[in-house]
Amino acid sequence: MLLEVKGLTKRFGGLVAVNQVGFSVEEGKITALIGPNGAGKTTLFNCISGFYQPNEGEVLLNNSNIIGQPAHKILQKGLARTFQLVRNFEGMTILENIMTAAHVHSGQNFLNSLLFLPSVKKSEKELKEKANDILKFLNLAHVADKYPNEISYGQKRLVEIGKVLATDAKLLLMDEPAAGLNDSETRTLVDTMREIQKTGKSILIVEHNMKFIMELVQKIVVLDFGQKIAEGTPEEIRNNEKVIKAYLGGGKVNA
Amino acid sequence: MDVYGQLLIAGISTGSIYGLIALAFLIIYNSTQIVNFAQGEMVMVGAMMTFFGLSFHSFSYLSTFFIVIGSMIVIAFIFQHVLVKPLQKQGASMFSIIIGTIALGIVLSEGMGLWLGKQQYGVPPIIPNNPISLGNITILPQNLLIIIISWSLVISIWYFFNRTMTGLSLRAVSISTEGAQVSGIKISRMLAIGFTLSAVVSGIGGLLIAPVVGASPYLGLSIAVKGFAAAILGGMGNIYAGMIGGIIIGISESFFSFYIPSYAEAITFTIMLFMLVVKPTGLFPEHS
Amino acid sequence: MRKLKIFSLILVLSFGLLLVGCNSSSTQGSSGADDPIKVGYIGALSGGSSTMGVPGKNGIQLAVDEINADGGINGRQIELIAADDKADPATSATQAQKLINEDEVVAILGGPNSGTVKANSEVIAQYGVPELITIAMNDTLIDPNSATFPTTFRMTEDNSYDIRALAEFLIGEGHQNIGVIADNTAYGQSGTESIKKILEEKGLNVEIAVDHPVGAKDLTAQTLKLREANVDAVYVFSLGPEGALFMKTLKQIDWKVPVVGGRGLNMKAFVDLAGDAADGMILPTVINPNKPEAKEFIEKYDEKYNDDPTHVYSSLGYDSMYLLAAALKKSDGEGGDALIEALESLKDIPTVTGGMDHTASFTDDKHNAVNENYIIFNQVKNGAFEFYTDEVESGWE
Repeated sequence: MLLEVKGLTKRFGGLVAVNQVGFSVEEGKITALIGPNGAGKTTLFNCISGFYQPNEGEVLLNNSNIIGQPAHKILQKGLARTFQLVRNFEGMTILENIMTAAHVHSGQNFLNSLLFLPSVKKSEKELKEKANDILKFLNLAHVADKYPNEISYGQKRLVEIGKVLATDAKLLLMDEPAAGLNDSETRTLVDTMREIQKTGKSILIVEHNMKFIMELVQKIVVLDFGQKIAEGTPEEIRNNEKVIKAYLGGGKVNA
Repeated sequence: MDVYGQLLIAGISTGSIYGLIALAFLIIYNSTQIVNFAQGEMVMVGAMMTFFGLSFHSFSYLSTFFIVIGSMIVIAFIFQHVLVKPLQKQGASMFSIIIGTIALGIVLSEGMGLWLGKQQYGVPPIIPNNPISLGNITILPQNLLIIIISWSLVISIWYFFNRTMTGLSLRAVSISTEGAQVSGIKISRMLAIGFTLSAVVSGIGGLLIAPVVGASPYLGLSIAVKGFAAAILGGMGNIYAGMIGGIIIGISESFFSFYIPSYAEAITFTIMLFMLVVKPTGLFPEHS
Repeated sequence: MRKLKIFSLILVLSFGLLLVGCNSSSTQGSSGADDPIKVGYIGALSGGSSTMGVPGKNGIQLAVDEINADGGINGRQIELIAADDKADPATSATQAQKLINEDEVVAILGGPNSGTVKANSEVIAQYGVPELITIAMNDTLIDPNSATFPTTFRMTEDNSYDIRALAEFLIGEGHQNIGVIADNTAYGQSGTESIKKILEEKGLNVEIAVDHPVGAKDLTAQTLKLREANVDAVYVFSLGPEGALFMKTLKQIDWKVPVVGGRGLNMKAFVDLAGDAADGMILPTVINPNKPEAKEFIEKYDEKYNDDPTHVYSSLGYDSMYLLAAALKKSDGEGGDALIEALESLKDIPTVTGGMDHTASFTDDKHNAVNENYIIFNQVKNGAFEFYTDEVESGWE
């Protein structure tokens, strides 16, 4: 199992935001985390990616517990995330945005970058090539030298995804990647995600857009009031009583 | 001899020092939003260590340079690990951290005074005071050195922030800490680099200014005030604009002192105030 | 809560460091015949003026140690209680209150800064405690029309005394049009006013006076302005670092104008910063190294402290303490009116400062101790102060 979450609990004062949640993400699959607003999805995400310290539980990445480790360490172990809101680096070109994320694996540091060593030049050339490949993969090659405020919102979201791709992480956590996108942009995103899956990456995704989820994912975990109420294939979830009830107690989970 | 040329060169020389301080100040401000009120005291430590190396121990200029750089690395470490990090860990507000920098500045001044004495010390120039002629104007070698080194530093730092990945990563931290975290950037190491860079630039400023105004534990404030003014005039969001701000202040001080003596300081700060009101982003806001 | 703790820790730490400078031991007790006689000193022991304040204190301490080793004041020891005023008038006034009320000193020695001495002398006068100023030179400190006059005495002379001597020197050299440079503080500006007044009384012409802020990093504009006015000589009233900057700028623009300086330039930082650029400058000092008493003092002082290369400030502290001790012997350790009376009757007390046979005296209307044979000129040579002459026409009237 690539990622296993066991008995994870996060409390804020008296409020239990995530309560004894456990689930797993299989290698090569796209897994979704869904639930009504305030169900604790983002909190759970933050606990997994090292932004919050959970009160109880374990997060096993390739069977090693990553709780308590700083974000950059978790990233080195192969887990990267995007945010609900776009966090591009304004003032840096799109290419530089991607290069900065790819930089985590190049061996240079402060001193030899100041001393202008030839090895730095070489590794920066490689970085640039890699970043350009990623931009090509995302169909963003034509905006490489633009600044974030000069591209569309959909493109900005793709840049965010480009950054996690650049880190070479095996498991990508994406927090509502389709939020704010129009239909055609969403379709592009679905295609892109499938392409990413084909390259052997695994994805855990939080999303409200059910159509997007049902089309894309192989497994769904449902949270309600901080607790897991269901886990299964899209088909199983679609017909799960508890899930239907949680979503305003009526009808089918709409597709 | 040309009065204008002479005033101009004097203004560029003092302005370069102001710009250097602004540069050091803006490196910290732009990577952490911390307004470092101890910046002047960092310059002071550089000047006092120059005195310590050259006059106290009669070391060579090169050894003194390394003493200054070494002490600035220590100061940067203290700044990050004794002041900023513990306060941030406790969730202290930016206000507390800024007040903390004031306290740090006082501690540095008084500590330096207790160690090396609270006097004004003279420091010999790097090159003897024999004026160099540039056409029909003259300049002291020390002032020429100030101009050359300040501008070389600004250019190196521009290169670092725009042409090296470590520099880009540091900028990334300043633009979005969370974004940088998810890009795998080690925030605390990046900040260490930023603080060190800022402290080292301040230290070199101290090294350059000591032979001009001497070294004393209390020289920090007067120099920091001009550095802040240069930063505000140039634009707080643009690291290099401080240098332009500094040159403008230096030249205006020089000419006003000649034509409207006694009012030079007042006019300089009036320009700064005016700038704050009319164009708070400064003359050269950041490109974005 | 914890963040508050850390924060207060930093504050406490920094204030703690600030306070280390203020030596403020206070041993309360009734004064008996065997108790030490307490003498206070208020001066800048930290901050920029400590260059003067600390040697002043050390000079006093050296005198106290010698007097005590020699049997003290009619058998009683002297205890010096030094307070730091950081060159701040308000602090200075508070320190005066404390020295008088808590430490119960019989007399106070005043420090180097005229502003602080003015502030504390007003407090001290209210208690009828005598104050003997060691270094500060402002013309208004010893003013017969002032309410502080009855209790305030001074070891040295005022600025006007130095200026008169320099005016005589400038006249002797045949200079007529003089330029003045000074800082823009009260010290610099009141000095400029006195220079203008006295030089013009002596028939000289102050063509131009320029100023600069303390800590100036460049004086090109001021120097060019003086040159443009075409003066015969320049009177530098600035303190050390800016004085040195001015001399370097003179050299830079290759203007060979004769320069005289104020007493405040007597600091090592001045010659260290100016290097050979200050060569030829004439400036008044109070100590002649060829005078045997002065030579002996310099040797003793350097062996113990070695922090006052020109010995101007330490020697003034030293002489002040001996002057006070002479009066205390007369009053038998009593303070108040008895001590004031004793001070006013001091006559021809030898001093290490001043010309060859200089002696100090007070009377009931003369509260400056020195006579016309006091001032000495130094000249800067090869980047160091050298004795120039003690044949100084003081212009005394």
